[in-house]
Amino acid sequence: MSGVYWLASYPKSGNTWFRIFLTNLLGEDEDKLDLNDLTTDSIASARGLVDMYLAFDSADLQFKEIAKVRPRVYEWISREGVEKNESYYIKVHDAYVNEKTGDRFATPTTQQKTIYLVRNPLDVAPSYAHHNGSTIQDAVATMGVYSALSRSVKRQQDQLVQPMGSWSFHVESWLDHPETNVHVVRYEDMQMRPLETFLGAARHLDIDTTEDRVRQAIEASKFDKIKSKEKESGFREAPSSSQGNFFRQGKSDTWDNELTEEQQAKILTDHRDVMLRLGYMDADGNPVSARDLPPINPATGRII
Amino acid sequence: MTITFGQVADELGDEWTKINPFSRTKGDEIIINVPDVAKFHVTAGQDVIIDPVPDVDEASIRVFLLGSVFGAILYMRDNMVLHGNAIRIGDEILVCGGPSGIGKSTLTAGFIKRGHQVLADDVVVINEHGAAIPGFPRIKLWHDAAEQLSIDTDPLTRIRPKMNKFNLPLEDQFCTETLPVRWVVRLAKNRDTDEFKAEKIEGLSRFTVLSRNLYRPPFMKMEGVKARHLKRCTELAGQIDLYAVTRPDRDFQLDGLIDHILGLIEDEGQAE
Repeated sequence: MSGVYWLASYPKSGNTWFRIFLTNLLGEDEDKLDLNDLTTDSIASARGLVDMYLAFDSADLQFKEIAKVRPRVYEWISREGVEKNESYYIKVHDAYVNEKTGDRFATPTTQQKTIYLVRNPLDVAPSYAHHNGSTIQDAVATMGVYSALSRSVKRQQDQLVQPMGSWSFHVESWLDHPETNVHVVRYEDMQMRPLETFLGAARHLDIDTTEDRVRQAIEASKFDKIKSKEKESGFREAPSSSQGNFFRQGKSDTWDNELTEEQQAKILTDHRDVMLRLGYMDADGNPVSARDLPPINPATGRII
Repeated sequence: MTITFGQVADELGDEWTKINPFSRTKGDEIIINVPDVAKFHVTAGQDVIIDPVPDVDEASIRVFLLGSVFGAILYMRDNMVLHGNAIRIGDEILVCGGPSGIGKSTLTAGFIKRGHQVLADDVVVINEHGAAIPGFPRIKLWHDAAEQLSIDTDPLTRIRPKMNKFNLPLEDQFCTETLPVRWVVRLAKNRDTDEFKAEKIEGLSRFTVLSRNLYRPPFMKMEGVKARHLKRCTELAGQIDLYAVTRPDRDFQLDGLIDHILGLIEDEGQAE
């Protein structure tokens, strides 16, 4: 297939790591990996990207108008990709549906496939707090309610507004609309079962590759290597609040040390259904460690 | 030219080429569809039919009429149209272009505060002699940019209802003369530095860098526009000094940016 492949996730769920893997997989020489020039095709909400397909300025549009034009832009991009036999791998933080308005991210007839990257929300929270320069308390609260990125109404931001909804809403929006053609990738599986996880994802992206190439790309994308690249040449996509440490720890199951019991309980309550579905919570309501996660069906994001 | 309200067809035949999801062209015509606002049908750089959505406000129609529609008309009339601002420096014009959100309008307002006149903001029209033609006597400024410049937005009108973007009218600050373009600056920003960087663009790259500043690149698909643009761009590239200027992303530093740009221009003047 060709056309558009969404690399979708809530923030801090392994999207960048996956894109680095993809750059290494598709590229020639991993020593030449440049964090500031990843092979993938920008972010869906990049104003410059969307403006190329408008006959007017997105900066003169109201939010609801932007929500109306974006799906038509993506449909056009996808059609172009199919006609030219090219594949576009585009990052997305938007939920597939706007929780407040019901607007969809893409038209139902857009030819699209999705890799949905997901991570235990207990680990997302401290990572998100660090990324935003906020408290863990704030991050936990934000994840439990509707939120949006780039939502300023008083200045022009480089990206268009990205409605995300709560963490749970975000997950369900991408997994429960069949038109997204989703393949779910858990962060913890990228760590614990890398070969089968990355290979499965590459196959869903219709990339013709071998186990050896995937192994090499996984090796070249290891956390320590990426971390030292960040120290060397910076990472342009990182917000200034992360202070040169976008790649913070790259670990799972640190939440027991980082979250208070109250914060843990709030996440387990707010996101119970989705955590159960993805295997992050067992039938007794206890969190499950990365090592012990049961397998999921990537087409549905449900425990097999 | 004539501007009238009328009907613009929804369904168009195959003789219309789709430029993108919101515009189509055929011969010397273009139809621009701004969802929830209006459809605009432009013919021969001369006639505009506006088909508004019921109950849409006039301010919204005006924004797209004076922007994209006029841009299309001016392309059809064999001008070069750039996306940026045009500032009077002495008796010559500096054009500053850059990606959406880089701060072009904020920069325009900053130059005004320094006592320079402005010829155009957003749509810069350059004729066959390489001279910039006066545009509209206003700048469109976001709320935060106005605040940064200590401009009170209370007396100003919003460009469109529900948007925190305002029309700042210009009076003496508006230049009404057509003047030759002497410098073009392409702006960019960089997260990794707190410094300004400037590079003078020479040789064949001049055409590419200059072309990056085109107003509404999709309009190049209108008949004849691309060929005319090639000619105009080559001519203009020959007559101007072209710079790529990078500012720090973290902190706009408006005064620093203006100083830097004026410094480049002065150094060039002295070198001669």
